[in-house]
Amino acid sequence: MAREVGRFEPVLQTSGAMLQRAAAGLGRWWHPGLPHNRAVVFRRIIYAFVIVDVLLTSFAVGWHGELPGELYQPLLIGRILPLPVPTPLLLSGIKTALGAFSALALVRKRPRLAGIAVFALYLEWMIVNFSYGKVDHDRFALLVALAVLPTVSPDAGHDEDTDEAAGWALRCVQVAVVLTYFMAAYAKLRFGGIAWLNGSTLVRAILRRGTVVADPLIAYPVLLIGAQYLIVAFELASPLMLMKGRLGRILWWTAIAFHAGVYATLRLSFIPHLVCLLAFLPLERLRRAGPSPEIGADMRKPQQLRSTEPHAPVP
Amino acid sequence: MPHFEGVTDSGIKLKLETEELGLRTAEVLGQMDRFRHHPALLGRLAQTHGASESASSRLVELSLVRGIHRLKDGRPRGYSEEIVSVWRER
Repeated sequence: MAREVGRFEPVLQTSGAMLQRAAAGLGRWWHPGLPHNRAVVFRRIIYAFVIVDVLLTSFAVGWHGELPGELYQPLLIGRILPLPVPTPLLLSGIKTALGAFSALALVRKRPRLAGIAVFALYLEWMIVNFSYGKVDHDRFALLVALAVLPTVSPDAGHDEDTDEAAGWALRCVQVAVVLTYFMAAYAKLRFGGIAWLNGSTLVRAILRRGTVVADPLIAYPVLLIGAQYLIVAFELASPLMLMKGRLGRILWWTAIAFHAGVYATLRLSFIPHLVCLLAFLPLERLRRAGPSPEIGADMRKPQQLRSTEPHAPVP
Repeated sequence: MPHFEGVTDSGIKLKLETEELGLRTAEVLGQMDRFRHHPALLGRLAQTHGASESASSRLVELSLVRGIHRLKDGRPRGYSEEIVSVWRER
């Protein structure tokens, strides 16, 4: 009996060591040491975008306050939380507060508190947006970004350091971006089955909102079916965007080309999602190229700016 | 593509895009079954629309119309419309 146990001990030890190594590797992957400045620049872009979004790109949310309450069909989260039926006053209040807190986060005045407020308000803004019969998926990564950015240290003294906490926040956004594509493919196959690939979704989209670029394509259904295969192939391959090196860069540029094509043919902009695609870029270079560091920023030697991230970011 | 058709208090017939009543196209598509089974919802929309309009352009009838494109071999072959639901002021 003792010999039997002894025989398995090395195997168990090896398995345990492998699990430990895998867990450590996963931990390093989720917490890459990235320049804190990268998160700082990304945070600025995100909060500036929220102001633009509330005023311009998601202005239609404000319409909902004027609608009859019977048309408000809250999402699950809106049914669980005691959220009020939208009114013009409520939506004006959210809009104003979003602008104010985003501005505070943008200029680093109580950025954590302001960031948490922006997340809570924007979440409610989106619950209203998606509780009238339509749910978009282009704001998922933005919501994740707003959720994780308050965890990034507000201390400007760390701006020139590498920071695993900042790396974690950026990694979360990257994963959310990838999941947006991957889950879109899952949704297509879940509801349409494999037949979706040979269906007429793009024909319908062009009939509904095609541009001058897209309208002539209606005459070539085989081409549109081919495009549907390519879209699903890209979405299923999107996790490769998280890989280091050339493969990741190719997928990132494929995403950009995909959105350019979608905009040219269907006028669908995916702006909130595109903003989050910036989380893959070495944004800290923008700051170094800028006129001057922020007051109080700790100026370090250039070699301390290097990332410990094992794979090179998209240039 | 859905749209609305209304008749005002002064008898004028109007074609209204969904946005003119505060709903995006996909939202109307998402609640199509509710509009079909509860025409009173159209009445509530008409009232909301009327709140910002003059008395003569108040809607007394509102219909939800759905456009249907027929396809053959993946190409459009004909267009028709279905009246999904109608509300009339009593």
